[in-house]
Amino acid sequence: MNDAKINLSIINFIKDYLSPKSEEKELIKKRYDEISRVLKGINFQSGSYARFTAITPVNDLDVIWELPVELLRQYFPEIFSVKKVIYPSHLNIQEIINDLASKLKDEYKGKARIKPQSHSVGIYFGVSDDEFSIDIVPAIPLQQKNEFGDPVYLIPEIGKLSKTKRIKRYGDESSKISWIKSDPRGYIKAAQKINEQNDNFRKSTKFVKTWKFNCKKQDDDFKLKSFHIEQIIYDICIENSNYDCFDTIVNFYVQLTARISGASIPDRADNFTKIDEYINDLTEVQKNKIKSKISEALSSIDKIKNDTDEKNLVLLIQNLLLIDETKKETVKIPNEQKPYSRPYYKI
Amino acid sequence: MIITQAEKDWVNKEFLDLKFLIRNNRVILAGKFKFNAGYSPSKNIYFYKIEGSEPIDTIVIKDFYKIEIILFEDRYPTVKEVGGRIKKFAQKTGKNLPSLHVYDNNEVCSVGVLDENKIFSIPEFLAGPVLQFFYDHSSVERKLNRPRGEYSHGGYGVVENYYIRYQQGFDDTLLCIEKLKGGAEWDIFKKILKRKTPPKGHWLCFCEKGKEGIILRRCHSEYFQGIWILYKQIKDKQIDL
Repeated sequence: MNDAKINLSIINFIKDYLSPKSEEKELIKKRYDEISRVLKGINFQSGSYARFTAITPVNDLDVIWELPVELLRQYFPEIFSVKKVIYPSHLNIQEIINDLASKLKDEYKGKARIKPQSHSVGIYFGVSDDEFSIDIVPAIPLQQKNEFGDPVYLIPEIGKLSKTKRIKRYGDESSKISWIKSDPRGYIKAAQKINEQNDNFRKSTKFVKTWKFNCKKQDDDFKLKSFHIEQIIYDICIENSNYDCFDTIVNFYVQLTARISGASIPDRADNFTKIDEYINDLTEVQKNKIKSKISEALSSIDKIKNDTDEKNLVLLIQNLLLIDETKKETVKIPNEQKPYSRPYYKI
Repeated sequence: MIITQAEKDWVNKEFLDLKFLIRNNRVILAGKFKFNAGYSPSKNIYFYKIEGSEPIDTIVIKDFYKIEIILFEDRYPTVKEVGGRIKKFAQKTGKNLPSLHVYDNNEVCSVGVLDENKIFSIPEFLAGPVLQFFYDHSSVERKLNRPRGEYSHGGYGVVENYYIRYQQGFDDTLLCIEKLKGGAEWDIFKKILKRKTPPKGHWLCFCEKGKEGIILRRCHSEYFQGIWILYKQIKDKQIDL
């Protein structure tokens, strides 16, 4: 099969099955607009959804809330002292969080469950916590600017965790949640810029993230992080602006073994920390699990390249992504249904 | 309510006599709502279709209703029983329609008013509230109890609904007040909620049994607990009535 045909099929597959659907995007926009009305001051979407690298179904959205100056003055006057030294461990934003949660409860009037945590407020729109939710993460703008001239922030460390890990972290009361430097705006702008130069960045990221998601579904001990994947693909796109989507994906798998040998990608907010530091903590067994999935992926890529029948292409792409065809794009409603409310009559 | 192709496929497969139509720019799902469903009292679970692996005490009902579901983008769908079956049953048995949770325009009240905020996909809606409402009615026609029970009518039902949702972790205080204000009994509730002391469980019940001397706590205890929590919330949050 020639590479152009493969590339086109992969792009169509990403568009049809992996990118968030337009209805989904409209709903998320609506939800975000509702929240924006309640939040005083500057706030913006963050995370993979804001960088357009999220895959469907989107089950969480982070909203960074720049704490308004009046609130900072009221609660943390030391920030405005002559010395201008911020001691993150001294920041106790519980009162601000509770106040925000109470305003959100009034706004949503039972349409969503509002869960104030020590360092963020979760808004859950479904009955279970696995359904779509928005987390509002407070942030304090620092004087430090990123390469695009936007502020770098101080955010609670949970802001860098996935939804599942965040819930676990809140459950662990043995250690205090610290504040760290973060550059969410920088990552959003960088993703936007690279995609303008090479519009395969977002597509390839979604593709490989789906592969990672399915690897994790097969084995929970598959420890590759989505943000790490995104940054590797970012590097590939920067170095090879002429690569198409398929080239980028192939290159990702080729590079990945070396990339998991040790942390190497500096954080935009702080050059002394690396976004892939977790790699250094992986055991050999965990690394071997990733390596084994890499060789499976490379062998699936060979099958795609060697296939002569175009009809098989979608199936081979699904094999590479470890998608079970029977589970794709179908609705499953459990047969067992708990009694849902009770009938009522309004007089 | 957004309907994806996969959801449409699901409806066509599970309820093949229902069809999607467009009327006055609204999406309507109309036709025969046929079901072969069950309810297990020991598990307190409905089965929207019988597959053979249900518990032994499952009460299976096979039935159908002619319905119309009007879908809205931003609010709970309206469900109507358009075949006139429930009206006929009311006439035949001498019951009034409200006692069967149906309005004169055939609209059915499938869930408590505060539960209408939940966002459903169309399959969840059909396999959940819609199925449960019609299964329950079929139970009543067969002289069985409604498995889910029922809320009291009017504001009393709103308060019971408020209490159940409060137990589930929802705080609907403002919405509950808003709904009560729109009802016929607002003056009664306002008087209770503005008292200096909380409502008491030994008050006589608001229903007919109250006239026989039965007290709230022993009769409509969910209403009592709901109005008590509502009273406390109003005081704590200093909500102006």
